[in-house]
Formats: sequence, C-alpha cells, structure tokens
Amino acid sequence: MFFKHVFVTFKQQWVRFVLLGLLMVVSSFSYVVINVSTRSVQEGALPFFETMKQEEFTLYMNPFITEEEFFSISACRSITNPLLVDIENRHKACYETIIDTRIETLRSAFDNLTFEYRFFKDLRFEQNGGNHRLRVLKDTQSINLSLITEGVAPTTDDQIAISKNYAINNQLEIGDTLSIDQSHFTITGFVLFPDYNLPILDQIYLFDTVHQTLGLMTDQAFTSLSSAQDGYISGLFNGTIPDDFETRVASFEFITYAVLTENNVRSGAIYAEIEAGQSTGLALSILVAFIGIMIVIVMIVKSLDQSRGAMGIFKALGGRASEMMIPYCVVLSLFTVFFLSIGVYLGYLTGPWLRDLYLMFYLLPEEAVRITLGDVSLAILAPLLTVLFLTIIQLRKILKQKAIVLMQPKVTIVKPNRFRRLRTLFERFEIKTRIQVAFLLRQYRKVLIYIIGVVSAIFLMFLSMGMVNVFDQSVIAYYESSSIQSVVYCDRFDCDPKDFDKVLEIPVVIDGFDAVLTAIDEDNQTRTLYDRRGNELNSKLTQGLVITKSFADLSRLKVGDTVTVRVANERLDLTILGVADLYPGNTVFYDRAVLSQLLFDFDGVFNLLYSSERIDDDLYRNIVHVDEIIEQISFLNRLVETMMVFIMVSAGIMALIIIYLLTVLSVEDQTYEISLFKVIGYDSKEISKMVLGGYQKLNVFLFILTIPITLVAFYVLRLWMIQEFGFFLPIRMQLWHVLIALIVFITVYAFATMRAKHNVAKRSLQEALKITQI
Amino acid sequence: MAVILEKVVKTYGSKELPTHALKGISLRIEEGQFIVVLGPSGSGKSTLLNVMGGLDNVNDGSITIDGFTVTTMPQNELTRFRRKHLGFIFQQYNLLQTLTVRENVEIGARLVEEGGDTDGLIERVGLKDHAHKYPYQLSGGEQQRVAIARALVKNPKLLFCDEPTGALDEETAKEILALLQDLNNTLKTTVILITHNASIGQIADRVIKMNSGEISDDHLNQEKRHANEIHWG
Repeated sequence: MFFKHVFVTFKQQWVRFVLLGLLMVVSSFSYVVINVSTRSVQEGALPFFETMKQEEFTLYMNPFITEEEFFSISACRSITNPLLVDIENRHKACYETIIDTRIETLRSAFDNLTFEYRFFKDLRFEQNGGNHRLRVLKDTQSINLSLITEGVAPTTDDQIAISKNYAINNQLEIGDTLSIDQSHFTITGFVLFPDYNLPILDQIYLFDTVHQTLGLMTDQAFTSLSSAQDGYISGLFNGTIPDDFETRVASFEFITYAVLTENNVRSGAIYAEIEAGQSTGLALSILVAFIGIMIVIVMIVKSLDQSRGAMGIFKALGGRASEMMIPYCVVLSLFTVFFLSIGVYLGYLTGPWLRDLYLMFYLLPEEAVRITLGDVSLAILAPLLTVLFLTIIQLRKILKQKAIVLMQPKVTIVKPNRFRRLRTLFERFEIKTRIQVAFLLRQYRKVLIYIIGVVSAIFLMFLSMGMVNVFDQSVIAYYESSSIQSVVYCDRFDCDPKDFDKVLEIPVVIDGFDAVLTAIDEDNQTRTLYDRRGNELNSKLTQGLVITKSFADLSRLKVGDTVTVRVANERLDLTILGVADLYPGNTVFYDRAVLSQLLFDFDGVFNLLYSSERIDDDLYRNIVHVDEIIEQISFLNRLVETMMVFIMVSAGIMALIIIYLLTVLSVEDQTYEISLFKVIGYDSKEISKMVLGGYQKLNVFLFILTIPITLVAFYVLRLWMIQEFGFFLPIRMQLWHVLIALIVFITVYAFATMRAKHNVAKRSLQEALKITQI
Repeated sequence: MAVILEKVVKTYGSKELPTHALKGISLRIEEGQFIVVLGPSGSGKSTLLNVMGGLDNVNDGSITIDGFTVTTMPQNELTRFRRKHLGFIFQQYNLLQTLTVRENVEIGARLVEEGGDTDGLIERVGLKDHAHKYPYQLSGGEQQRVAIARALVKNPKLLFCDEPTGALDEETAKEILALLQDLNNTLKTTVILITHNASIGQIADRVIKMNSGEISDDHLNQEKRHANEIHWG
C-alpha cells in the first residue's frame, strides 16, 4: 500500500525527477567516458614505453663546437664555422669525433646511466597539393626503439614507415609512394616512437597530424637525405636518479639543458594528460553528482514532508518504520540505478570516440576500451549509497516523531540568531530586498547547492570560450605581430642571406630557465618588438635583453633585472630592458650582431632568415611559410572548437536543470507566502519579484563572482602549463566571453523561471493559508 | 463601505455530487458596521468571507462593494481592488516567520502609495517593544496583533476576520476583540468577523447566523457590549 503511495508521489513529479535523472546521467557519463578512454590510452602507452625503452630524460646540446673540443680534437682544426650543422656537412670526421667524445664524457661521468644519440633530419615534401613536413628519425639501439604497428619496417633504401595518423588524414595506405627529397619512397608500414607521443617538430608547439609526420628509413637512406642532421641525447636512469643530475649535466659545456621526460611536451605530455584527464573526469563527475545528489535529497525531503500526513496515519494505524522506509528506498534505488546505468552505458559507448580524439593528437598504440567493476562501483554504487544513506537519515528523523505530530502541519522555526550578521547588512534596504534575503537564508542549503551549480556552469562556459583560438593567440599572434612570411632554416655556412633578415636562434639557459634566444638585427625589416603600451623595443636590443610576456610569466623576471645567460660556452650578464607583448613560450630577444660578436668574434653568424615575402621553395632546402603554420593552427582550432561547443552545451544544460529544479522547488516551498501575498493584495509580478527576485540578485552576484574565480583559475592554469612544460597556454577571458556567457545564462534563467512564475500564478488564493504555516 | 450580495450561489464538488456552500445569499452591509457571522462548521460562513473578499469565485449572483461589482472583475483588477480596500485577518495569524514584527507590518504598508504608518500601527496594537522580534518569539495574542496591524496599516475600508480568536484563550481573545472594536470605532473600518463562537456576537452591531449555506437569522444587536464585558461561552 505504501509502495503505491510512494510511487504515485514520484509519478506526480515526473518532470523534475527526469531532469534530476539527467544530472545523474551526466555525472556517471562524465566519470566513465573520461576514465575508460584515458585508461585505454594509458594501457596502450605504458607497456609501449616500457618495451620500447622510452627515454627518461633528454639532453639538448649546444649547437656549436665548444672551445675545448676545438682545441682537443685535431680533426676539427680546419673548421671555419662553429655551427655543428655546418661541421656535420663539411667536416664529417670532426663531427663524428665530437659526437663520440660527448657521449663518452657522459658515460664516464655517470656509470649507471644509458646514453644514446637521437639523430633526425627534417624535410619538406609535397603531398595532396600541400607543403608537408617530415622528421625522419634514425633508428636507435638501446633507447627510444621504433615500433612497427602495421606492415613491416623499411629494409631497402627506397622504403619508409610513417605515422598512422598522418596516413589516415592524407588517405595514404601501405604500399603507396611518397616523393621526398627528389626520390620516391614506398610506405611499408606505420611506425611509433616512444619519444614522440606528439609530433612536435620545433619550438612551435604544433602537434598537427595532417601536415606533419614522423618517418623511419634504413640507416643508409637516412644518411643519404640531403637535410642537415640534428639531434639530442636521450638517456635512461636505470632505476636510480643521480644526485644533482640536472646541475651536473648542465655543467658540461656542450649541453645546454636537460629535460626530464615528464616535463617534455613531445614525449611526456601524455602522462600529465592522463593524470589531468582522470582527475578532471573524477572532479567533474563528483561535482555533478554532488549537485545531483543534493537536489535529490532536497526533493526527497520535500516529498517526505508532503507525505508526513500519510506517514502519521500509517503510524497511528500501527505501521512500522521499516514498512514506510523500504518503499522509499526501493523506488529511489531503482530510479538512481536506472539513470546512473544509462550514464555508465553511454560513457562506455562514447569511450572509443574520446580515445580516438586523444589518438588524433597523440602517436600511441590503440588499445580497446574496457570497463571495470571499479568503474561501475564508483559511477553507480557510490552515488546510490550516498542517496540511500541521506534518505534513511531523513526518514528516521521524520519517523521518530509521534503520529499525532506527523498529522499536523509542519511549522519550521527560523532562529533569528542564524545569519544575524548577514541580515544586519541588509537592514537599511527596502522591505522587498529584506524579504528576498530572508527567503534565501531560510533555504540556505538549497541556495548553497544553487551557488555551487551556477558558479560551476558559468565557469565551464568561460573555460570553453577561453579555449577558443587558444593556439591563434600564441603562435599566430607571434607571426602576425611581424611581417614575416617565410622562415629559412640555414643548415649550411654558405646559406645565402640575400636581402632577407638574418637571425641567430639558439637554446640558452637564463637564470636556470630554459629559453630560446632569438637574436635579430636592430634594423631588421620583419620583426619589430613592442611592449604592452606600444613602445618600440628593437632599439634596446644592443644594450640588453627583451623577453616575451610568456617568458616573463614563466621566470617571474622583469624589466631591470640582470640575468646570467648561459649561451654556448659563454656566460653573459645582461639586463632585461623590455617585455614584448608576445606569447611564443620561452622566447627572448637580443641583438644578433652583438651576440655573434660576443660568441664568435665575428658579427656575421646567423642560422635563420626571416622574409617579409613568401620565399620560393627552390631557393632553400628548409623553409617554413607562415601561412602554412596558420593553416595547421586552424586545424587544431577546429578540434578545440568542437570540444568547446560540447562543453558549452553541457554547461548550459547543467545550468538549465539546476536553475529550473531549484527555482521551481523554491516557488513550491513558498506556496504559503505566495498565497498570503496574493490575499493581501500583491499581484503575480510583485510576488515573483519577492519570491524569485532574491535568485535574480544572487545570479548577478554569482555571475560577477565567477569572473575573478575564472581569472584566478586561468592564471593558475597558465602558470602550471608554463612551469610544468614551458608551454604558454594563452587561455584568457575576453569581453565577448562575458557577454556570450551572460546571454546564455540569462536565457537559461529566463526559461527556467518562466515555469516557476507559471507556478506562482497558479497558486490558489486561500488554499495554502489553510494547509500550513511555515 | 457598503457591501451588497445578491443571490450569491457557490457550489463545490462535481455535477453528480455537488456541495452547495452558499444557496442564493442576499445581504446588504452598511459602511462602518461591525458584523459577526455565526454558524457551525460547514454552514458556509468561511465561503461567504472568501467570496466577499474576492478570494474565491461565485457560481451565480453578484457582490458589489462600494459600487464595484467584484464578481465580474478581471483577476488583475480584483487584486488591485483588494490591495486598496480590503484587509484580512486569519485564525492562524499567517505571519512570515522569517521576518520581524516590523517587517511583517511593512509588507502591508508597502501596498499603499504613501507607505502607511507602520510604527504608529505597531504602537497602537501594543507591540512597540516587540517590533524587532520574530513571530515565534511572541504569544498567540501578540501574533494576532501583528496580523491586525499588517491588515490595517494600509487603511482598508473593509476588514475580513476569519476566526481571529479561534486559536486564543479567553483573556487574549477578549483583548483582540477589544482591539478590533476600538479600531472599528475610531477608524470607521467596516469589520466582518466570522466565528462559530456565539459569545462574540455580543460585540457586534449586527449578527448574521448561517446554516447549511443559508442565512437563518439576521438581526441588529440591541445590547452591544464591549469585548471585556462579554460572557464567554
């Protein structure tokens, strides 16, 4: 009998229970989808790293011959240019001795560590009518071994294995041919390298799998490629990290800096991605589940209060507490399990899609998505037990009362001491405002849930919009702030500068921070630096450093600071004279001629050329065109925008459900007041203002409050990204974000309150006055 | 403010099983009168108050207050009429527990353009020292005084009282009735009080008795007494 009563109670409120169910679906869905997909990626990646001996650190080398090497290696006496790329090209014996000596020096300094050179060559080639990039990695013996996932490894000099993502994105199959470096290469298989989880080929963090690929060739084919060979040293700790490893390593003149894999975007971003993905999934589902469960409890308490009379009668007739509790628990369990299971199922179904989205960026093995008992337990059992636990507590509280008390209307007394200080603040306000405040305070638990829900929803909207064009803001803005159209990578001493701007770009360490020193001429035609206020900075370059805003954020350095720049063999003490309003990671600027003179006693050294016009690809072997970079970024942005729309819609729905349920519930809680106001002469509009007006004001407050919260969160996110990976994530809040979020929020609120107002208008005048006094 | 009821019919329930709460009531109440409507439970007296106050619709007949036919008024107009001319007091006081005494009265005052004399009314009902207290900190009689102050602060011409002493002890009930009598005398507010307690009829100018939805007796009270002098039945 009581079962029927409970069932009918639920049925009467089916709309709101369905909405509540949707919140539960979102909760279990977000947990499961993120968990199963990241685990799938993790399960594919970790054994791959283990088996293929993923490097544990990378040592980036000084791109010049050191003074000691020059004097100690006899084969190097005849060199005319200190650049290693030039030495490799023109003085093979010298180059090979330098490499061998460097490795040997490291091996003798660190007995238990494994070191191996990681050589590569970068090329450009035509594919599908576009200019694509290829990094051919030379096969290794002990670290970063290649893994052929499909097909076979190249065995002849006209064969190549490439990244599967690139092949898919360019409709290439095993057996197809690529034209590279004026030769034809047949694709024999798809290859993965454990040190390239992201296809990042240079200082610009472009992990684009449409226009760039990794490749594996035979050693002979690799050697025959016309591009200059470049490289770094990979290493394994073999179980023990030596004390002061990074400091000791950096003391060698031929090493610029060491990066541990977990701090290296190219090879280690996946670790942080998995960790962040799993904690985001958990946090998001806990947040949604918390809000959902709290609303369930509010509704259950309300529903139970509405059934007080029925319980009183049943109790008076001799019914036991358990007979009343069991129906509630059973119906609630069925409801909760049903919706949570839908979320789990949808999460499991969508898992492969999210995994594939990961694998669009990452170069990792595919692993089937699977769901575990632990996933189901956390996604279903945890919320279910919480709901049941809180329901039982509430039921016991009600059922402890005498039958006669239950049959009488409930009178809730609000202790005036509670929130006294807060109420005092509003004493001078007009009565309407005080009523609004009083109504909100009376339902402070509900309001707290409302606050958490609304702030989360607005924050999610800001976050998703902050991600729009996030790549544009760093890389595109970097190029668009200049007139650079093409960049030439000079890998030879005889690289003809023609009329283009000469640039010397080298890795350096500035007060312990890795950086890229881009040395330009003061009178160059393509790059003029400006600070935030628009002041020109090029004229300061001969006197000191100009750092980018992103590097300033990373290093906390500021104008006026004197820093030690460790560049090649030199230690230069320079003063920071300006902060350029640019965000290309850890870039700093200096004068090229001065730097060249300081390092080589000659002011003519350069390794890049900037051109304000697009340079013909036939003129140089390695050219990057800015319009192609922008095209690559547009591809990345499209993916980010898809995610953004997904998050925006989810946040909007979440906000709609929360605002709808809580405003409607609040109207119902105030049935008595609404009737009273009507009786004494207030019209529906005025009543809505008093009953819902508090929420309107609260919404304005919450919206404004979320802005600084978001700004702080973005700041922390930027700081974390730059400190962890040296990657400046230009996530920012802009005025149009605030406007769009405001429009969405107002629309959602208006829609939700429309129903609530309808309920206000529907309330009968005299009925509530007879029922209860709250 | 004169009230005229002509053949007012109010029926509840379904067509098959109707409950006739008011069976063609006709009545004229003169301005400034203190009317007590007496009757047992189910006699129709509460329904009479509800339809006169515009809280419920009639099925037939008409009600005119001060020349305005409230039974044909659209809802918005009726609300405006109610806020301007009518006051209500209920058995359960119907105060907002989250607001102080002063704030509860202010709710009524806010309905009047000139704001109403909140403090004056609070003082007049004897709650000057309790203005910042919450309803639950007051006795039943004090709460009813707050309700009276709230109803009168907007200076209504017609005051409807639905069992205003039903939840009070004899002494407190007499105090409340005395207050209503005093307000009726000084402010010339027409008071219509419904009760099942026949003793209260002693303070009225006119007593209307109801039974089964009909007026069974309607007479002027020739021996009107002050509330403190009535014999409590």
